[in-house]
Amino acid sequence: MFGVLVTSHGPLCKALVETGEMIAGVMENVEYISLDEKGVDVYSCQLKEKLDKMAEKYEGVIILCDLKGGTPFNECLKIALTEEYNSAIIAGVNLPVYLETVHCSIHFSKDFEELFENLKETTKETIEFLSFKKEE
Amino acid sequence: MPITFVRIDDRVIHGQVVARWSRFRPCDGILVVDDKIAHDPLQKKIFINAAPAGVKVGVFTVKESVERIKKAAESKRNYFIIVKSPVTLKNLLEQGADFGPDINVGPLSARSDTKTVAKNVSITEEEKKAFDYLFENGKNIQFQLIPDEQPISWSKIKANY
Repeated sequence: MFGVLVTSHGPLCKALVETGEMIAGVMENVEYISLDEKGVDVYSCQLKEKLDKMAEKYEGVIILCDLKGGTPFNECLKIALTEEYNSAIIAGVNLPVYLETVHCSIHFSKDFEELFENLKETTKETIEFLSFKKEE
Repeated sequence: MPITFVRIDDRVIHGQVVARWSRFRPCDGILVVDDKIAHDPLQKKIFINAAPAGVKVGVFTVKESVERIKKAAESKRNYFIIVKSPVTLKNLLEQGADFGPDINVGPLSARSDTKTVAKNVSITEEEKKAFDYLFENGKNIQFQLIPDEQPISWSKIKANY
């Protein structure tokens, strides 16, 4: 099983996990960490601690970040590139991506590439664009 | 006007740049100018990966940047320049780089030898002198974290030091 860590600017990560619980129940392999007004240094320390613990417990950690290029993403990338354990990063998380990732993390923990392929396939149709232009 | 934005920001490329500034000013590429990052493969990789969608990031030393900025200014693409400190812009200016008249200042975090002069902006004596140098050389320096905020000029910020 993979661990899943959700991280964001502010409370989005907490809300995603709590909203996810409403739909899919409590997931034991999920944790979250938010970058708040305490700043980057505090965040970075807590992140490292959490990832170290999760890496010990699971075969690897999938990190879900809110925004590519945002500080949480940059800090996660730094740790992923320097630490020895297995990790994967997905940026731009939303509820469907979160739910699907958690599902995959439990049901098949082979390699990350396979998981990514599966995620791409299952999440690409989860955003719908509908417009309703009414005639004058 | 190929250099469309010059920013001092000690977090370099992060949410404010990716989600806001690069959507408010034309941006095809970001030149990160910083000797330390340019010599650190890990940091370099992180900021190259932090690029907003459709934007390329290059990391260069001050010395390399003089020529790079000239090339960028002559190209058809629109470039942002991001540095971590006003001292870097002072060095660029002294070495003859032409990055235009406007400078935006984003977050500069508090360190042991800094004074806080604005929301999320703390500067050292050396950085204060560098801002003065840039100001004396005709630069329009505005402190503004995100486009939605009102900019505050260096002359006003300076009074808080």
